[in-house]
Amino acid sequence: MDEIERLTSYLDGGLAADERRALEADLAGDSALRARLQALRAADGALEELAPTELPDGARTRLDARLSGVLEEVLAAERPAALPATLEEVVGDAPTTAEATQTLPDEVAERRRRRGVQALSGIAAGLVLLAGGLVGLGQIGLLSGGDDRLASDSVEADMSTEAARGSAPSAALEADGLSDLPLVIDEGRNTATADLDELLTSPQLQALAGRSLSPEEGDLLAVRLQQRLLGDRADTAGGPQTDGDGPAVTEEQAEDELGDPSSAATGTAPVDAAIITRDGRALPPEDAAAVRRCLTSLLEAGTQAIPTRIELLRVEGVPAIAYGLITLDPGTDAFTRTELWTVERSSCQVVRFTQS
Amino acid sequence: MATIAWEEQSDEDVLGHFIDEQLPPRTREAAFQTLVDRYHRRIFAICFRVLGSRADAEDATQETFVKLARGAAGFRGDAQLSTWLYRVARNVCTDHVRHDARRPATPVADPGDLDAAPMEVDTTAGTDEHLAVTAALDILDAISRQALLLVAIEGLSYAEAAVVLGLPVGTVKSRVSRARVRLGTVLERAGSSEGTDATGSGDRTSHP
Repeated sequence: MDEIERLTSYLDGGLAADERRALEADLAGDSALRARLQALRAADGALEELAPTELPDGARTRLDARLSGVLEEVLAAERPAALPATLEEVVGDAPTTAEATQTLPDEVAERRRRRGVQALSGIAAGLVLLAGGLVGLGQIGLLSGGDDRLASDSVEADMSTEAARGSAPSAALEADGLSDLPLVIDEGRNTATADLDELLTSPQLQALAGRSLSPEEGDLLAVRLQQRLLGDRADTAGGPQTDGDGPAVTEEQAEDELGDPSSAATGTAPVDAAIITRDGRALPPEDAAAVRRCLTSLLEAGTQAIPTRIELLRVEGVPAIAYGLITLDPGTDAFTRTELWTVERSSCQVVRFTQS
Repeated sequence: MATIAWEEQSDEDVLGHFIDEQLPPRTREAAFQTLVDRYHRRIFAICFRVLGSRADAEDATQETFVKLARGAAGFRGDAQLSTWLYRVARNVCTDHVRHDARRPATPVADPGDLDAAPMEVDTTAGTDEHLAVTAALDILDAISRQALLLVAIEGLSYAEAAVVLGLPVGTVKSRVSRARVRLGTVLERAGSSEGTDATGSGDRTSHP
């Protein structure tokens, strides 16, 4: 404890008897210390004169007026019956990890065969949307293990495929395979801010960054995946299908989403069906809406970014969404930089940012 | 329908009533109003201390409660509601200062940006003593001033002030301690030499 904290603790009655006696002895022989104590007392005396802030006249009436429409809307909104009411229900009904990780690559492989798409399917399989709310740590461990296996297996397969084909131009980013692949929801977790950084080393991010996509390929994939996540909003924005000019979401649409998240939550945007849980259920609309809303706000800076891993989680107890993005590293002129943006779910405010 | 004794319920229990779709809308709204009763003044005070303007603070306070109404279902109860609300208020206030930062270049919201917020003269301050304190507070850097006011005037705990300011608790404690010493020194100096300018040579950028 430094000197000032020692003095404030003394005034606040926070010192033990022996510490207090020691301080009083120091005070007796140290005029500078006495002056500081005197200053603290002067400050406290002055501060006591100031009353806590009162509400302005009419503030409650104005607040009630502002809230009336909002409350009406919120209270009228019924949770869709088909959706799980609680996270426990989602987790409880989920297949075991072994089932989930075995069936998914098979599905991916089947689609790959059917579509004849070879390149990048590994990346798409690695695009894992991790969702949920607060779950037990035991479940996290189980599901995380499966998640790692899923990503590394399929990426490995894809790497060898591409190695056999030689270097892939942008034609290899054939969109069909990507747009048809399911986004997989895994688990949520409750984490401390400091522990978020470990998401940066998640296999999905590492695998995609390791591909060192060229600026053209990266832009194209970014647009594809953004369309995939942002859905018909992107499709109807007149945005690029192939030119990769940026997130295909107009300012106006983004504002709509930001301004009224509840409409997205209660609406029936077809995109929600595209974001599914491991066991094939749709992501609850309010979760999907939150994921889209905050991604839109993140992407508004215009920097091209490939959304690669998304996790719904709680940080220090606050609902949050972590977005793992791959972006163009000017140093390598390739999409090799991993970025982790964690935003508060309710406001989309960035609470932490780290990059590789 | 039995009347619910809201005063006997914790914040989290009251919120639970608000989000319980089995309950009649009137009960749910009463639950929400209970939370407004409990936090309206405090959230306003926080926003005022952070933003320095009553008009802005009132806007931000309204926005905070709108977010509570819309986002209540997302609150799953492993944090205190008060902490959650303070954090929302902080983010709303930060938004007020920086509308444009959707994906900011400095990504972690930096309360230091709030330095720019002008301190509105406290219109309730009438006496010379009040004026002297208000002037003396002005020599503090914005964060230290906010921390001091939140803790010493508005009655927040260090932990709550830390949430509002987005700083570690230890930093808030040391800021508040140092701010008290600085404030007291300035007040004493002003008191011992009437007529000199208490705000004259403050170091507005000191950091711990």
